[in-house]
Parts: sequence; structure tokens; C-alpha cells
Amino acid sequence: MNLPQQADPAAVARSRAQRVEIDLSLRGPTVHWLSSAVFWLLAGTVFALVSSHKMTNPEFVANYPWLTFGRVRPAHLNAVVYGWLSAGSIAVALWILARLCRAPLRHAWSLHVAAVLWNVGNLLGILGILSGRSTSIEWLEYPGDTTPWLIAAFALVMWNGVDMLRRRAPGHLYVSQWYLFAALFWFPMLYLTAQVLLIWKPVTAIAQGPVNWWFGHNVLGLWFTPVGLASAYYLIPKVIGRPIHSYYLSAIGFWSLAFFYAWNGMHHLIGGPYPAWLISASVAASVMMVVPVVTVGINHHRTMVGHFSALRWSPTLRFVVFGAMSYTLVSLQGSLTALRGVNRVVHFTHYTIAHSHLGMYSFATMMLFGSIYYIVPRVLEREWPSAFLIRLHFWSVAIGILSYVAALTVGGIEQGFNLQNADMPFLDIVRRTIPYLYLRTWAGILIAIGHVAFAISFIRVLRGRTRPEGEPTLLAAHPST
Amino acid sequence: MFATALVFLTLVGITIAAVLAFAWAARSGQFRDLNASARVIFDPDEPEGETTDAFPGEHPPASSEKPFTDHR
Repeated sequence: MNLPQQADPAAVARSRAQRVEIDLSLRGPTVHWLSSAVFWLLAGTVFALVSSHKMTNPEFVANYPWLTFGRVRPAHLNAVVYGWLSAGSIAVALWILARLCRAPLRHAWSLHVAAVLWNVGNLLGILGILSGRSTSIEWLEYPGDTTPWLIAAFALVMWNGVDMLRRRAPGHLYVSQWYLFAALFWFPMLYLTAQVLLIWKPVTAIAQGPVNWWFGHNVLGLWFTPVGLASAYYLIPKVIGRPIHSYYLSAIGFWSLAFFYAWNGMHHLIGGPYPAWLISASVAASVMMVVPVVTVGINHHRTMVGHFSALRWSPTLRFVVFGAMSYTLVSLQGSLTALRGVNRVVHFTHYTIAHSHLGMYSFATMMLFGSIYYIVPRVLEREWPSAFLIRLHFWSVAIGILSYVAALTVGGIEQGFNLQNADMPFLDIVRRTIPYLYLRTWAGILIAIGHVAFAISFIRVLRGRTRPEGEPTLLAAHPST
Repeated sequence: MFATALVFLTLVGITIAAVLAFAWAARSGQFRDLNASARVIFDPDEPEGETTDAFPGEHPPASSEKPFTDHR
């Protein structure tokens, strides 16, 4: 049995001073990027509620061209993908990298410039979509003139990431560092390839499908997934004070993702006019993803064994463990959905929307919430203002997203089987989905309540409205035995 | 055809980059002493065996479900 050992007081003081220096070096950029992310989360939530309500009440704000479904729905997707998740992921990635490299941030100004560029790009992109200038390419609807803003911003982020890697303390690279450094290269490679082939120098229409879905699938697997898993691999052991169950398994998980994930994506085109080998390669790669998913799932679960009571008192762990469990679920579901027999039924149904929200919300967004709850008190040296608001946030979004996914999964499978039935009129099939669409909107309202609670907490902690009494519990380490 | 070829080359490039990174990791000793790798997240002031998170104004219980045990 390993018990905490008494460390040399001088070493403890040095270590604490270094940790505080690193956290403070990231204070301004982290606040800038996370404030932007929270703004886009709220904007994306409004777009989501409007578009979801329109599914059952198409006449809702139908007289305003800017708010038609074909504009609001992609505005929601892009606001949450680039505005919320990407901005939040950048803040979390740089903080974890700085901590693990033991290298304070040297060029804070560049990350402020990057945040401004990123926000301008997102603002122009959302306005472009709402004004009818969408590219109509899913996941890449921003008009082409917004791309340089986002690319310039990400180049500055990469520069800071590489700078930390070069100045890292000697020794082993932790698995989270591998995931984060890889993600900082994977995302621009994906984004630039897609931009060149689809926006700047568009290839013929038939060839745009594979490029579109190669990007759309890989941006989840090679950008949001590595950042989410890096957070889990850092935060779960940090919060419970116990190393991960098996570093060996974590290495297998990372390298199998790095070798094989890029071959995914074309399975979205099953049934399309494409060479069979192209789609089959992606189906095979998708099934192979069971290897990294199972290794990561087993590793996280075995690390938590004996420490599940920590979920009662750690806000970070609640969100991160929820996200980690969702990662296993959505990934195995994805491998199953890539099979031709399953895909034939569920493709073009609400099941797909449930699946994408299981990935982008239950996994990626919950991971991001958990990370933010851990990081913000440390960079601000200030406590979160209210345990009640955090609990309200967690239960609202957890119940909300589970209801959302359950309703659209069941409704989507039913819809898929009905679509196979040539005797059933199409409008009857559509009408039968309406109860599930109402459930979707109610689940969305619950999620929105959680987001408002989170935003209130965030604004209050920024303004310094913290609990005046007692020691900031998040900042003080406690023995776990 | 141009698009398919470029995407194909990019994903082959990503795979080759991963193989090169793997080779560097193996050469530079990243896979030696994996137990040490798992512990690099702990510091003298946030050592193994100490929890670092709780709801504001609350303290985690003095003991977890089980004593701290090394399962590897």
C-alpha cells in the first residue's frame, strides 16, 4: 500500500511556487478564451432551441429570413463546434500542456491576439450563415472569407504549444501531452485540407462528399477526442490522487488512435456513388477503433475503482467521468453504426443526430465543463461562488442530454425501420417522429437551464463574487486515505 | 479524383507521421519504466495520495471507499 509520504518542505515550496507561476502565466489567455467559449455556448444554445422548436412548429419566426431553419441549424452547429468547443479546448489544452511541460507561458500577448482573431472569424462566420452566405457544406458552413481569421489564430496557438514542448522539463512525456501535441497538428492539417478542396479550390461536386465526411468525422476523432481524453487522463488521477491504472494501456490507446483514426469518415457515404474500397476502408477503420476505445474505457474504469465515492464531492470528476463513460458508449455505437447493415436502417434518421450529440455533448462538452471547473479556480486563485449552481448545472445537463439522446435514438430507429417499409406513406413516417421532437425540445430547455447556471457561476467567479469565509477547498490538497 | 488522391495522401501522411513519432518515442526511451510515466503528474506539493478537488465550501471526506492501493 502506498501512503502519501512526507516531502521535503523546501521541495514542496519550490513545487508550489512553480505551479502557481505556471497557472498565473496563463491567467489572462485562459480567461479570454474561456469567456469567448461561454459566450458562444450561450449563442449556440439559443440557435439550438430555435431550430429544435421549428421542428414541431415550422411557422415559428418563419417571416425572418435570418431565422429560417436552414440558417439557424448550421449557425448552432458552427457556434458550438468552433466558438464553444474549439475555443474551450484550446484553453484547456494549453493549460494542461503548461502544467505537464512545467513550462510557464511566455507569449501571453499572442494568445490574446489569437482569441481576438478566433472571435472575429466566428462572428463573421455566424453572420455569414445567418445572412444566407453559408457554404452548405456540413461542419464547414462558414463563408470562405472567415477561414484566414481562424487559421491565423490557430497558428499562434500552435506556436505556443510547440514553444512549451521545446522548453519542457526533462523526463517522460505523459500520455496527455502526446494527445495534445498531436491534436495541435491534426486539427490544422484536417481544416486546411478541407478548406483547400472544398472552399478555396472546390473539386467537382461528386468528389466533395468524401472530403466533407473525412473532415467531419476526423475533426471529432483527431481534435475533440484527443483533447477530451488528455483532460480525462490528467484530471481523473489528479483529483483522486492516484496514478492511472495502466500506463501501458494508455500508450496502446493513443498509438492505435494515431495510426488508424485518419482512415475513418467515408463510412458516412455508405450507399453513395463511390468506390467500394474507399467506404470499406473506413468501415474497417471504424471497427478497429474498438481497440483504443476499449483500452481507454478499461483504464479509466480501473483507475476509478475504489474511488467512486469521489463523485459525490468533486464537481470536476462528475463531469469528467460522465464524459469518459459517454466516450466509450458513443465510440462503440459509432463502430456499430458504421456497419453497412446497421447504417442502411439508421442513416438519414434522428438516430444520427442522437449519436452526434452523444459525442459532441455527452463526451466532449461534459469533459470541457469538468476541465473548466478544475482550471478556473487555479488560474484566478479564486473559489467557485456556489456549490448549488454547479449541482444545478450538472443535473440539468446530465438529465437533459440523456433524455435527448434516448428520445432521438428510439425515434430514429423507429423512423429507420418505417422508411424501409415501402407501404408506409412518407408523411406518416414524419408525423410519427413528432412526439420525439417535442421531447428533444424539452430536453434542450433542460440543457439550456444548466448552461445559464454555468454562465452565472462563470461570470460571478470572474467578478470575484466568491464565498468570503473559509479556505478555498479546490485549491487545497487533501489526503485521500 | 484529385480530391480523393489528396485526401488519401493526407491520411497516409498522418499515418507516416504517427509511425515516425512512434519511432522517436521508442528511441528516446519513452516506453521504458511506464510506471514512472504514470506518476509524472504528481508533484511534492500535490503528491500521490492527495485529492485536489471538492465543491466550494465543502471538504472531501477523510477517507475514500478503500485505502489508497497501488493496483498495478
